[in-house]
Amino acid sequence: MSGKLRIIAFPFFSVLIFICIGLITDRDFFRYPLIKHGKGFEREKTVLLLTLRLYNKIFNDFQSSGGVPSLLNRFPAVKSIRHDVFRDIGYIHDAGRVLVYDMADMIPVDVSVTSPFTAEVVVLEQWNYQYQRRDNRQPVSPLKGLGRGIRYSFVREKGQWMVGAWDPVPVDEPKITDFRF
Amino acid sequence: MDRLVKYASSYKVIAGLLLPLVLCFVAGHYIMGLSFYVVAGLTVVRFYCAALLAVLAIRAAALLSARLFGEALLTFGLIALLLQGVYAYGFRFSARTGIGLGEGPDKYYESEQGPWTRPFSLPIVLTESRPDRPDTCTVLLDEKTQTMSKGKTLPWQGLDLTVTSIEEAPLFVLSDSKGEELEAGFIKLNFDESGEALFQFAGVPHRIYVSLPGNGKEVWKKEGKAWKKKTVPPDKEKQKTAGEILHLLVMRGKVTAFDADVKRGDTISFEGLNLRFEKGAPWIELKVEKALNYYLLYAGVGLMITGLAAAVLRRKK
Repeated sequence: MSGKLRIIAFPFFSVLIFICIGLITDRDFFRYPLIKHGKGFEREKTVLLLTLRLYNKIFNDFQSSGGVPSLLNRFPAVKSIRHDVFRDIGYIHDAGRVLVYDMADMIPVDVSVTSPFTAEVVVLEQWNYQYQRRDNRQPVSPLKGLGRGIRYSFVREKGQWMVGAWDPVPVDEPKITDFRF
Repeated sequence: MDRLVKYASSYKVIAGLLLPLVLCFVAGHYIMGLSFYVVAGLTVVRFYCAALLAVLAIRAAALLSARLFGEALLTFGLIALLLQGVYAYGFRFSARTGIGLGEGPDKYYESEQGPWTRPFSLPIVLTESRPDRPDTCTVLLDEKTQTMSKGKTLPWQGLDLTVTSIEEAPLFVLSDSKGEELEAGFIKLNFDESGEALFQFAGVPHRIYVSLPGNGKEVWKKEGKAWKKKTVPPDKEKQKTAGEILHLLVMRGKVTAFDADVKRGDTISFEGLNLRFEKGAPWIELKVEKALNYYLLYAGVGLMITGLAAAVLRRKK
């Protein structure tokens, strides 16, 4: 190897080793440029939407079961969100009721991966819900429908997307007052 | 052994370790838009920094033993610069907190701190904020009365304290359907980029979103098959009512319990609860930042200049 080539070779290999170590230890960071510039974005979008579907499915299960936490470990949400969900269930439970939700539709509005460790998803959620008596599951309210835009903020924890926060956002869609199962 | 030390501490190795670090910081900060601290926190960056420090230390020792003091000083300068970066990363602290009248600071938010920053308490109490002087307030800081102006930094024991806003915290009163008061508090409304502030009472799970009526907001609208973010311009007439009228959105889980403008003093009802807001008390938002020392940076630059000069002189001789 000529002298000039040797001078270039070491930094080149060093950068290569750096990337290889990075791909093992900081995978999210090294994949981010690809996601940001389109390649891999569709896959990440699908992962985020699937995570959100799982979140809503388990949220639904928690609510309908009156707070049975059997799926807690699979619930893709940070501690504060989990706490919020169970606080809500406890509040309804204390009133002798159970709130049964059913998701009618979830329309993705916007998905953006804002950093290697954060993402935001805006969806228009449409739900049916009904309050039932906790003891005999008799309905105590008519079946109602709701539609609302929600922005979910995701954080990456141990390589998994988790719902870190959510807030309502204005999504201009004709108001839907009643859905059917 | 000597050959190994010589090779391990050569400029080639130093450049080889430095290059990926520089490329990573440039790509992370300027291309990905991440803060330097996020990039510095990557495992591979920390590993390469440690390796670079070790190589520089070996080189400095080898140069000292060879009595090449100029080059050794240059290397010590590089070590000092690197240590300055490590210190800034490890001991950084920046956060915001709210302080109500007669109260101490709340829990920190928007907090950014290094792994070696030790927790500390801030002995500060807001003692006065007058409506006729909206840009200044008086605080009791470490048992000394201080006047603070909005936007001006007050140094205190290695911290930079800056009042970023002086606002009014409305009094929100929550009661049950019989009118019995359940909870009440001066709520420090910390509006986010979208102009909304969220708060919750401890005893109920409802999320209460507060916004000022007439503020411009962004709405997602469907155009053809795509969703576009549209800006609704502010309504100046409605904005004049700020303070007297607030827009309240109350949510519990997915359910919207209340969503309308509310006048000060009016009571709203939702899910067997009543809520009203009254004139509040002043509060300030305080930005707390650790004032980092730059001694290592200055020493590093000084050592490098001295070392470079000494090395050039020696070579001329």
